[in-house]
Amino acid sequence: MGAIIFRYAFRNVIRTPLRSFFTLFSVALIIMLYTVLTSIGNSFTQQISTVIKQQDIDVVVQAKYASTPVTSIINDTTVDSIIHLDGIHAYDSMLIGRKRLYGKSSVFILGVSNFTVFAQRLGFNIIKGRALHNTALEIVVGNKMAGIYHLNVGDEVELSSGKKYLIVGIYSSWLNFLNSGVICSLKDAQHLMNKPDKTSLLFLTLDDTTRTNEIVQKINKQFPEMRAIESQQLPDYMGPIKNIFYFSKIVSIMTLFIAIAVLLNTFIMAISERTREIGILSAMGWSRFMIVSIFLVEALLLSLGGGIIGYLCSYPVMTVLLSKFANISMYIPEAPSLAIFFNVLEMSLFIGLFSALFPALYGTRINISKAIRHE
Amino acid sequence: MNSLIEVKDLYKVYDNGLIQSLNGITLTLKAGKIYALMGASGCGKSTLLNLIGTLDSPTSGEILYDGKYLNEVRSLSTFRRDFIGFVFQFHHLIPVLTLRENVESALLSNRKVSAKERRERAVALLDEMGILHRADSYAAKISGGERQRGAIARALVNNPKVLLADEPTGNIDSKTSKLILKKLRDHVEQTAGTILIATHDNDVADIADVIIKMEDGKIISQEENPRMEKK
Ligand SMILES: Nc1ncnc2c1ncn2[C@@H]1O[C@H](COP(=O)(O)OP(=O)(O)OP(=O)(O)O)[C@@H](O)[C@H]1O
Ligand SMILES: [Mg+2]
Repeated sequence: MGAIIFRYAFRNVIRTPLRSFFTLFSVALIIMLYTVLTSIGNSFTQQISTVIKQQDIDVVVQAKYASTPVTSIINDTTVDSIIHLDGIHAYDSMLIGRKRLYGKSSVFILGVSNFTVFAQRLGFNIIKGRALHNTALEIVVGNKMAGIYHLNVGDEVELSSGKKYLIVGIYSSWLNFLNSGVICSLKDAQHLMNKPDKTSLLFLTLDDTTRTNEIVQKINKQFPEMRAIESQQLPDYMGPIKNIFYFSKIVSIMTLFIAIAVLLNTFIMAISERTREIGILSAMGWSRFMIVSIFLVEALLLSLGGGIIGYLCSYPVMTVLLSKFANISMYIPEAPSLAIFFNVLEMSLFIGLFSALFPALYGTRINISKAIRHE
Repeated sequence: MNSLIEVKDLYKVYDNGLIQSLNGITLTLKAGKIYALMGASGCGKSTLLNLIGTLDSPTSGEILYDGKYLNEVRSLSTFRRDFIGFVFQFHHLIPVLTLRENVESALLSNRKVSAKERRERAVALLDEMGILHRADSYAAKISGGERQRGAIARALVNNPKVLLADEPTGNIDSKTSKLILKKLRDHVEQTAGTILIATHDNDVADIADVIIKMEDGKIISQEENPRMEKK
């Protein structure tokens, strides 16, 4: 039974070649867009998450009402109290801000308590010169910034009036926005940004990671103006990651709607054209279920076919994107993941079944004798 | 002789009574007999066939199959699959299926028939109809007469007790037509079934056991065929 149904459905697909082609093409296009956008989104999220989760940081603390790390301010007295809590093994702090340079555009400044640790955490690579040794009046600059302002190792820049800073190295990071920034010691950053005795973020390493939750709750209770987060959960709190998550959801839902609209249209047409055929099959004793199954198989051929073609087409598209948009290349994976492939299959299955089921159920509720007279 | 189909006071109106297609038909179809249904175009022949074949429901009146009321049958599609064969007025094969697949399709919903048996039955019937060489051609690509024979093979493949044929010999040369009628006679005898043929063709009427004449949705006469009685 299956073989004839499958052949029947397949020949129905090629019976109207042009229409099937455009249906397939549309589904493939939609799925391709879905695959590319989701791949980029996922890759971005994943990169950030991996970096965060690989760290030996257990808890991150920032000011409770700060929407971004840049607006977060923690006083040194608070830092002092937190780090003396029971169970805290080590800590690092960071001050993030912006500063106008040469009266032109503002640059991103990162003051770090221990450069080596941060370089490792944030994935910095020194590509020229050497690392920062926590010495005053020394800086490393991002490769993008170095490019824009024609800076080189050994140059001196006046970041604030009267004080010259020596460029000891040039770095690059996979976090693109960091590449147009400057990194210096925490003390220098506090001075540059006029925020003495202040930091933006505090990173804690604990003696015993099984107590992480307990310590997070303790900090949040004792310092109501602070917010402590388990670093494992950090990605969920990060604005861009959250947005990418919602963005992905919206893209998937839109994909579903558009693809269903395309297939629904095709099947409403196909089924009304084949009213007489449905009548004949019914007259021969085919159950409604069998007739509906023909259309379901047909829809699955188109939706799964389109889905797989769309997924495969995302490879070349991503390759082109990679070559054309080198500056965001770190967010574009070389190939869509297998997980997305299974998503695509799942979605295609749903799209096909959903968009054929209703027209088919409706189209098989017929008066058989009228259907057979149908032209 | 036992009656397979009983039709009692059957009415069928269309378009809210504007068209009265059947006006009180009472009829008995007995096992082992071929009935020819004759009458002018529009007198209601196809309508009667459709109602007996459960493709449509009557406005009033009853149809019984083997003593059972059809409106009490639980699954009409299964009933059609097992007991009814249909030859439509315009052959109506499925164009994207091959001739053999078309014939097989009438057995497809019956799980009791294996794929092998289905194929064998289809091939045997196509052979008898003289179109086996066309078995793997698409229905859309064969001649009218071949399609007509294919449609008859399809109607017979489930060994129906009741065969309803609407102009089965329209547009067919007389040699092929004789072949078809011979096959129908064999079928009736082998299955102890009954055949109702709507036709304008006197050749068909000649081989029928009973000739029923209709006019304006009524039966005006029903006579044994004198030639058949001689046999
Ligand atoms: N579905 C329908 N809707 C409306 N009218 C119908 C329908 N089916 C049949 N009729 C009408 O019922 C009458 C009988 O039609 P039917 O098809 O039974 O005639 P027939 O005897 O088979 O004619 P022919 O010899 O031309 O095939 C006709 O007037 C036809 O127009
Ligand atoms: Mg007719």
